[in-house]
Amino acid sequence: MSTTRRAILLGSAGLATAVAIPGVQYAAWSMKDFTRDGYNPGLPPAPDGEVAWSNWSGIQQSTPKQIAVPATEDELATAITGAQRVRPVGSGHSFTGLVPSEHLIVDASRFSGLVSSDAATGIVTIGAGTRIRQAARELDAAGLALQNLPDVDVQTLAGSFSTSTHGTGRTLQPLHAHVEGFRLVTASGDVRDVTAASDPALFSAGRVSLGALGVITQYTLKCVPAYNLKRRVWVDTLDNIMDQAMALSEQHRNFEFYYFPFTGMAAGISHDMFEGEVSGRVSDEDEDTLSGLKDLRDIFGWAPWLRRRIAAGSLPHGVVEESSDAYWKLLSTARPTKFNEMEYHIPLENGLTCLRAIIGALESRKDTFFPMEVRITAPDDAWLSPFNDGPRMSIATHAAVDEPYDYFFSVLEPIHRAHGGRPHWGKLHSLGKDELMGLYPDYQTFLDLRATLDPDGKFLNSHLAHLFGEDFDA
Amino acid sequence: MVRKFCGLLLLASISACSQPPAESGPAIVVPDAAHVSLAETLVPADPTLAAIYDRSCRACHALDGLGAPLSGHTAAWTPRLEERGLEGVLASVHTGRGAMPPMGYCPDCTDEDFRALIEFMSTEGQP
Repeated sequence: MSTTRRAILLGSAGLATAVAIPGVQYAAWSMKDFTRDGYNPGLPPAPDGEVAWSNWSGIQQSTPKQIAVPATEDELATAITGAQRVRPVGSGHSFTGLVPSEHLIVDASRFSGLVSSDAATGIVTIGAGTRIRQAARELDAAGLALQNLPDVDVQTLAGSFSTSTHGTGRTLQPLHAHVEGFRLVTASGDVRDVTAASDPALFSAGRVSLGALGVITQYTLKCVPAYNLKRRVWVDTLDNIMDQAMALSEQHRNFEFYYFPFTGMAAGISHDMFEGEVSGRVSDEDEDTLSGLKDLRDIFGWAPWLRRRIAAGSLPHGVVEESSDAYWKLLSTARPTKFNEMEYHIPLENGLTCLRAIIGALESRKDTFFPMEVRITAPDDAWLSPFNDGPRMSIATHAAVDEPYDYFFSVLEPIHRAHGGRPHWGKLHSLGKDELMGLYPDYQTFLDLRATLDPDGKFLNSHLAHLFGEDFDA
Repeated sequence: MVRKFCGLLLLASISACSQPPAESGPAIVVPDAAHVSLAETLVPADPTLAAIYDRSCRACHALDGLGAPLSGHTAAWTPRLEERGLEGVLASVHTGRGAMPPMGYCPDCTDEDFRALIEFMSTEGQP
């Protein structure tokens, strides 16, 4: 049976403290507008003959001449060869400018669904435009499963693999590590069937390729038998959870934790293999939780000591949830509340030191409230995988979609960089070719291969040109 | 991400004295367990529509807790349709609403497709 326990509401001690707050300071804070300059949740206006595109959070926008949704590889090849420039889109969940184009955006989501599966070997072929949750559901029906999942499951396989999307687990690799082969439609319209045996260089480059080598239509994946997990969520002090984090990451199949800024408290989450009758997923109370954290900021943000004290009195301690279900119903979900995010992957040995510094920097600003997320991923060998030189600790910082995130770059990014961090390709970062050359031993090899496959820069946009050190004239 | 810290902090006393949300909409109609379970299994009878539903709609409209009205949960759809009408709900798909992006992950869908999908999702589900 599943259990969940809601937090104790603001207690009498908290209320007594709250009524004693200095009115002037509260009044000044309560008049503060947290909205960032330039926030505009709408789509950009599209001139005649163009269409509007925006990423999930709204900070990347463009007006391409067309968003093509080809149904066949022939249609895709025709669209690619006929366009001056092309950018592929998955589900638009990248915060970086991977997708914007003023020419053609190609949506590969009609390359969708399970094509074939072999339960004995775990080898499947599946459309690259399949969204993760659909992939998990169809694999489940075939008795198979993905080895791990990220937080968000509305992304397409191609979008998530191509940005080195990951879950958490000390022994679990990022999603693309289980790619055995893929079909790639290149700038010239050729269709390439790529495996480690057929083309080892393109295989190493293509698994994490930012949509820069062409459009991937199909993957061959190594899956595992369908499995259930037992989920446990508990609340403890940040100090305790950080002290135990390395051990917990070794004890549990999946371990991660969240830190609630200005509370000194964190939530640990573990998932372990589970045999037996499952309890089912516990209903979400996410929006209430996030709303509570925001309200705490809005009302008591001016006094960090008070904010911390009220949070300490309001948050539960100990286990707050135990449940069990199929892995794909526990590990990830779509997110109803929009935000912007920076995530850097830090060498594991530097992870906790970096986290302390990031928390210190984040709490130097009184306006932050979104929980931070900390995960660990095992290494793989794709050329542009941030995890290809050893296990890394991923530290993610979020800002409400309508609030400032400029401090990600000015304050947080230098700390991540100083600790050897590599950025998530789909999350906010400012790095260009010069910095990336120093982070990835195979970067130049990737760039050379890209230039061979796409000599005219058909798959470039301004963001990719910055990453690759190419001139770009739109 | 959000789901993972669910149920940890419910500062209702604080919320009670804070500002109301800037954007108000129809009251959320919480589905019961039967509707949550049913939404996971429903698919349109038409194979073409089912394929669109699978790749574009199902990840959110078959999962409780995201703010999206569940497929087959008419009680959640009715206030929306009464407030905005079918064409208004269609306009929400075009522009995006809440966590739903513009065109609801189906840039190639026609308005006819969207109307059929709205009708399917808003029709009370039968086990």
